[in-house]
Amino acid sequence: MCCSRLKSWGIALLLGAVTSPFWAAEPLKVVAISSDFASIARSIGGERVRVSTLITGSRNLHHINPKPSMIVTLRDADLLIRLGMGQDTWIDGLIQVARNPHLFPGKQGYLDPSGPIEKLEVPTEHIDGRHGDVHLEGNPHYWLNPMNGLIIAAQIRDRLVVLDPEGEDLYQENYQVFQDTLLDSMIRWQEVLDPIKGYYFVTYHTVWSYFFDAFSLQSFGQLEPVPGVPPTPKHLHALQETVLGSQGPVLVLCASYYPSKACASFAKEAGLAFLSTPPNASAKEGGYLAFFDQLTEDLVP
Amino acid sequence: MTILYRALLVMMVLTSFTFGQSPTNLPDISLIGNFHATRTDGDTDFAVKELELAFQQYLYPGVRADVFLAIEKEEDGSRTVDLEEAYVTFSSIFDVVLPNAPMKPAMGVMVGKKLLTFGKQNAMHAEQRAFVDRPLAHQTFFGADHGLSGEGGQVAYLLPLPFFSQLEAGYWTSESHIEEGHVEAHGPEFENTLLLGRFWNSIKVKETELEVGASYLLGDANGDDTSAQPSIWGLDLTYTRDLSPSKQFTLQAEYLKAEYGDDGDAKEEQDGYFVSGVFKFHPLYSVGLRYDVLGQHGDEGQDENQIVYQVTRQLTETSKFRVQYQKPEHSESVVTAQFIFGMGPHAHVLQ
Repeated sequence: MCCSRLKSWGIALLLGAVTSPFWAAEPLKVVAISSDFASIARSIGGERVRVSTLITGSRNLHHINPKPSMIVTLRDADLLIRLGMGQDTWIDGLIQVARNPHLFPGKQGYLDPSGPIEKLEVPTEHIDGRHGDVHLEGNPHYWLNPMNGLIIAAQIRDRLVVLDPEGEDLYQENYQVFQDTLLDSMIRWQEVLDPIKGYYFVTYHTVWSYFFDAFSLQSFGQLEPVPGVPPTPKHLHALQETVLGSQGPVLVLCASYYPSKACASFAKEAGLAFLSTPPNASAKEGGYLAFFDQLTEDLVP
Repeated sequence: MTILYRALLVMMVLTSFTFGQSPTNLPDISLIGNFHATRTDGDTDFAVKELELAFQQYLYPGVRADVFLAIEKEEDGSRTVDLEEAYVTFSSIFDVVLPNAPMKPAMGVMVGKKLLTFGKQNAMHAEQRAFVDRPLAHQTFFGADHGLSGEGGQVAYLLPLPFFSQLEAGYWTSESHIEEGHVEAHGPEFENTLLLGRFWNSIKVKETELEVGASYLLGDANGDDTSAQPSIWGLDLTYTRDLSPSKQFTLQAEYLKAEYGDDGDAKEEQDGYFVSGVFKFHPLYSVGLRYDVLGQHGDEGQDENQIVYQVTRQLTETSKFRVQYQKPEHSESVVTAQFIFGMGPHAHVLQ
């Protein structure tokens, strides 16, 4: 009796061990710079990836103070997804100290998805400090065009296939689902934004250029006289004069990490509608596609 | 020095020429300028304090070279060109030396000339510091304008723990840090072989990061007379809290205790510490306060302390204005206006 019970336990344990997820392949560890890229990586990688971010919340990705705790995140990662375009150079120092050979530039674990993106606002002539904080490679907020989200997703899919060939079918399938959902959503977002297609937008900084480009919205100007330089009374006065003479309604749209008081004050003085909102997906509120759902709804009065 | 100066000029000419050409194979080249205007009782001075020229590039995956040249103004008004730092970092030495090894510990190696990673302050360049000057204890133990540097090598090992924990061990040779003509020309003489150890840890809880480090430096480590070897140990603590996407508070403190003898005398102890707080309340503005204390060396001299206030206006990532007021206990107050500017891509390793 005793032996037969032991035998049953032994068989059960063996079966459990063989079929247990404990023996399943460890998920790939993916580290993305922000929640937008992380959300796309989750959509493509599904249960075969474990995704974390270097930055939580909505931040100006250029002005990040790198911290030692970020090194722990990178130390064991299989794939790093950065922003690129010279906007996140602080990541280079982290890669150096994390000593994870998979993530060295040029290795398969290093992904800068900005390469195939059609960049906006690329300088065509010599630039220096007189032009403000203009980026040589163009405007880096490329994730704000959902179609660029597809380009990012395709690169993540291809890289995951290289790092984890056994998951290829899943990655292809998830990409297809992501693509179909995004394209369907694009039609819906276009419809939602239809009532404000004739609006003009004033922003604090040139954060939203890719979003405007994606949905044929029109930028009227920025509160900053040149990128990276705070608003001056003279510039604001001139901008207000122009706004008051505009042909259509004007809306002030500010990325939430810029001084909302400056945006609100300008909007109030000029009698304009004003929205301060993060230009990034929120992990808590549904990710990349849900971010555009929310943004398009918020923009329509 | 003349050869170095000529080499510097040639590099600058080449740089200006090649900027108009294809940038494909150029290293990152940058220049950091540090201007000071200083006002003490009845005396005003303006100085182009330092121009730092940097060349930085990856040589190979995970292998990076960093060279920093400094043109400095001396006390007598002359200018010198110094090799401030020149080092190569192998981020993962086993990945380069034994690329096919099954197990590769996360060990990095740095060789060349480098500001020693003792505590958080010593290795910092002027543009990285939150204040115009260095804390009193650092000025006395390591050097007034720059930290203590050495030529040699260092290994760093990232411990496999769930939080950041790094062990560093360095073997360096050094010239004396004492700067001719400086009133601060006292303190330990770090010559010949230096042994450095550092244990650096950091934990993060939500938006708060706490770094705790311990450092130990032994001078003249190969000397016959161990009773004459100067030594310093230190503890450092950095608390950083992100209050919002554009607001941050940083509290930093270091305690240092040195044991050294003057001119062959028996070794005696001297300690010092600083506590500083910097509040970045706007993307472009920050204010800071630092309190420094430096004890006596044995029975000599007297305890020193000072309080330092600063306001900083950031223009770009590497350019800023700063006004600092410092009130030492036993000497005149000093007001300094500082302008630091940067041209070109410039980076320092996290330290």
